[in-house]
Amino acid sequence: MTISFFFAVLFFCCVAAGLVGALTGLGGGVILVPVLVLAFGCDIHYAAGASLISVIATSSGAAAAYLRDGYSNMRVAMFLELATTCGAMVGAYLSGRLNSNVISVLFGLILIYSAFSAYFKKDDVSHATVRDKLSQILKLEGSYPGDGGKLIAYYAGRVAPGFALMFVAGAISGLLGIGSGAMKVLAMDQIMGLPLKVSTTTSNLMIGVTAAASSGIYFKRGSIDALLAAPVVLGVVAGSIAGARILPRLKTAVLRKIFALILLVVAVEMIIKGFGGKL
Amino acid sequence: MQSNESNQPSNQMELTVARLLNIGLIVSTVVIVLGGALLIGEQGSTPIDFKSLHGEPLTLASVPTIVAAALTFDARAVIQIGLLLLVATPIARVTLSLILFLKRADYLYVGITGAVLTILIFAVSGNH
Repeated sequence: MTISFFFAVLFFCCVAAGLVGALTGLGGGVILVPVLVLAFGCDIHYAAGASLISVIATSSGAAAAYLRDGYSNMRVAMFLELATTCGAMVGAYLSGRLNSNVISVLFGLILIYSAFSAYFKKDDVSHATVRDKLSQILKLEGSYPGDGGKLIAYYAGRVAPGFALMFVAGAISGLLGIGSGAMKVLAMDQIMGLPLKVSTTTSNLMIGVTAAASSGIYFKRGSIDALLAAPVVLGVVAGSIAGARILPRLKTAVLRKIFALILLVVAVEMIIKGFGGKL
Repeated sequence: MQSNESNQPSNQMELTVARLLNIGLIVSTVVIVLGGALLIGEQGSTPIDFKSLHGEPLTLASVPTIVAAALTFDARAVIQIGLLLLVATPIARVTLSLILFLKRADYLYVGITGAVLTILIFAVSGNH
């Protein structure tokens, strides 16, 4: 196999991964890393490194669009980034200490979680939260354009547990090379009671900074391979742009459920791989 | 836009940050495409094995050596520059936010943003 052919095959696989990631709302990394590991036989450390960079790219692109539309909350993002960047460094550090098999098993477990969260994803419901003191001090509030352009005001509650979960989300992102957007959304939407639209778009903004913190460590370790990362990044970006274009015309609920089932199979594969195929 | 006075400058802030993110994404993508084209042009027909990917030689893992190699149009180094620019984009976003919070005299968030920036700089430059 030549380098040109390798680039072409990898590029098209990553277009598909980026497309599915955008359509299901799970992001590229969750699909990308198993594809690189299971289909291409790539070491999970390098797969995670390439994935992290592509996660920064898709996050930057999507975050720019959401900021323009006035959905993301910059203060909420910045405050919670304190937790995600610290977590990301711990995760990236751990990834250098753990061997590929352990990381594979952990990845499988996170995939199972992702599959369930994709399958049971709910529509926007407002959570009644009591505004705590920390939320007032930190001005974790805002308003976003609802249906018809009317601004809807909101505020955050339960800041401390949300912050703690963000640390975990950051660590998983750094360890596995994924954006861990699902867990970030969980922290903001379910725990802190922020509107789903605000949670998902603010999560997108945070993913880039989180991944930047851990990829610094991957770079230093030499785990980011240019040969692998170039087609991966370009493919995922192309795929997610295409995904964002066709998203409004699709019934994503059905798509998400089918995808969740596929994800479960992939999760089992990753776990089996982690045990050296001896399950 | 029906935003009130206090919302107006914050909206401006979001547009500025959005612009920065877009520019970062476009510039780094262009550099990666150039590096990829260079690589295919130079070594496109070289055989490769998927399982042989063992990361960058550590000579290409620090910024000064990458820049030096990229200036000689080393394809891998040009790609690495593009990847580094991509990593730099969110860091630039945090830096820009720091300036914008400072302009708005939101000192609490100047402090929080400064702390995030410090963590990021430590992550990228520190020895771990």
